[in-house]
Amino acid sequence: MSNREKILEVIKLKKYFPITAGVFRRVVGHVKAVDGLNFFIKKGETLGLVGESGCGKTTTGRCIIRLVEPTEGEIKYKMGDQLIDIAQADKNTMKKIWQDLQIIFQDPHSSLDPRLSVRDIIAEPLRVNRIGNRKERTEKAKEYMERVGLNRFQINRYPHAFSGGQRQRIGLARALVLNPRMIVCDEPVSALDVSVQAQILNLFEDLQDEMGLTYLFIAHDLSVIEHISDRVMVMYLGKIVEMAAAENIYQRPHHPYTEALLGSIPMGDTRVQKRTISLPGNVPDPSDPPAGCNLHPRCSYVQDICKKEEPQLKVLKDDEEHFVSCHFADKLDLSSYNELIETG
Amino acid sequence: MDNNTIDDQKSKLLEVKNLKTYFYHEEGIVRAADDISFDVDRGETLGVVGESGCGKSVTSLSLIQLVPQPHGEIVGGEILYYKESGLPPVDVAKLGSHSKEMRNIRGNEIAMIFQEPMTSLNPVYTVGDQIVESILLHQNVRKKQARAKAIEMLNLVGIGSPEQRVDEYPHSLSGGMRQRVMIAMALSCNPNLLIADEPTTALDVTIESQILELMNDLQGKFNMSIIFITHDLDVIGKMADRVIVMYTGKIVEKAKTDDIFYNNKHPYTRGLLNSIPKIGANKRLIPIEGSVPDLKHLPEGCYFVSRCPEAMEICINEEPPEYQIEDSQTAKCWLYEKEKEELM
Repeated sequence: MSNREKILEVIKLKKYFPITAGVFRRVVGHVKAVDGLNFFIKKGETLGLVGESGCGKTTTGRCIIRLVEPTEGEIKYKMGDQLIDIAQADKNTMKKIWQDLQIIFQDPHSSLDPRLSVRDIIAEPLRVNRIGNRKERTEKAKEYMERVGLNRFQINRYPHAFSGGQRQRIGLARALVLNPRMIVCDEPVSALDVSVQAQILNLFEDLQDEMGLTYLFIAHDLSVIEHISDRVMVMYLGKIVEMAAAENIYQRPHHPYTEALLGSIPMGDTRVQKRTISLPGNVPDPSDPPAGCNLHPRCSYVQDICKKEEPQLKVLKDDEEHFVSCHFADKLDLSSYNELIETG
Repeated sequence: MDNNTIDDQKSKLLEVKNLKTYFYHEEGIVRAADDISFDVDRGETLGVVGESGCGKSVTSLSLIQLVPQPHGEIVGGEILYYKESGLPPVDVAKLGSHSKEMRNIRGNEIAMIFQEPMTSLNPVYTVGDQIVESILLHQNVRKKQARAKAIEMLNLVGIGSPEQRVDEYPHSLSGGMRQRVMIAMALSCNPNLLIADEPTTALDVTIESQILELMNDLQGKFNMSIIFITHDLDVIGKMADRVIVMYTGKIVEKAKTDDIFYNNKHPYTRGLLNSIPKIGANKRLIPIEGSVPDLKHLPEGCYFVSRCPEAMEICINEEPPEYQIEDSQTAKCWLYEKEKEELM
């Protein structure tokens, strides 16, 4: 996996939302939803993006496909031989990129237009891009319905006639119909029941194998992320705290926040004794983040330097694909967590 | 239910017999809770698990006579509430929703917390007022004492500087804090039974873990029973002593928590467990095929038959009875007819 080419590289991405007040809508501050992200995604891999609500994971996903305008930074996307900066691209270039880079949303109930039939929903990207005539588009819609496990005879039905899992399949068919290479999946399974969630997760894996897709998979559920991802990126308060191969994140976390996240997962298994690590307090206000390291008011390993100096995302000494933003990344021994997972 | 083990040390707090709660719609009858029988001992936690639409919330609402009107109605069965062991029970199912007896029990002896901490608090009253209201309603104390009690409760549920928080409005509290307030409110009258309907579903993992710890802690302090409703089997494993698994308004399996994970009998329970991604397992998920049938048009026979990997001829035509497998375990599945015959 490590020698594959990068399909997307994000450099110092920032997205600040202004806070306005008063009659004249004066800007009194900024919510730093995404604050200086550096990461890349390789062709054919799944990068899992995990974090608590409000950490900026959805904003990151939307910046990448320009559903929100990034404030600063570069988003380099490789299309053919060209390297295009999505953050700067004009409308026509974006239209081309959107044929290649698609998104699936969380809520299957609100992301489909209730007045359009399944045929119109799936064929819409084709119509917008003037691909084929009406009959060909219908054929294509039918083909993709079968591909995602829907019955092609349901093509004239409307979204309300489908269950949550089926609607998510429709959303997937719509994203796939232009034959994209990369899909941003924004919490695609969190609104589904577990039995259906498993069906959709398997479908994601199958489609990736068949079509060589690359996923940026955003979710808050740590077990789902572990299951689907090759590499995992953990965010906290608009910043990346740790990024590494999935098994390294889960077996050998090096950031106290990752450790706390993993330690908080309730483990159903009654015969596995798991030490619970809890993180005291709440996520701070993103418009007024604490000085120094974002985590320091909640971190149990806090030292003086953490309160003053902000740690940078650095590569670990013994693993060139493991990035951690903590002053003590190389020194902290969080391996006691390791034992817990292995017994499980 | 005379086939339950009678343990001398434990005494029953609640005994539900053949509870039926139906919803009458123009298109048909929804049997949201259909022939539900279970009991809750003093001091134990009973987990109720199932997918959306399985009737777990309706069952719990029936217990405190809060079935949504006008369509819903408790049409049969008994809900025997043993206020003190040794005394004859009260049948909650026979009490009117607005009767004095019911109002005395609801919120006082049987309290409930809901999933959405955002919507279950009134935004125009301070949290203190809302806790004081329930104390004044059920206890013979003066306003000043009630306020002191409210502050004490807030302190108990781990809210810092409760003297100030008591005068704040819900919007200034985070989701986890609001759920703590809900718990404080529910426990302010020392209930015998706390019904928790998906109390942590809307919360982030680190906050969820805090709330679950808190509930375990307080259960010991208050010596109350908990009915813990959730769709998350991992949370069940951490909280419950015994579990009932529900599917389309019926209980399909009842067992000790350990047996649910290691000695489960119903194919649906097994399917649910196989659907959950497990950290470190790295296996392909085995989903339950298909989706939950329409509750208005349920098939004859076993409701799970269309999704069951072990379906037999008889399952299509006849509804399975509930088989007693061990003292504390039952399963509603034809598979155990065979076993019974073999034993004979």
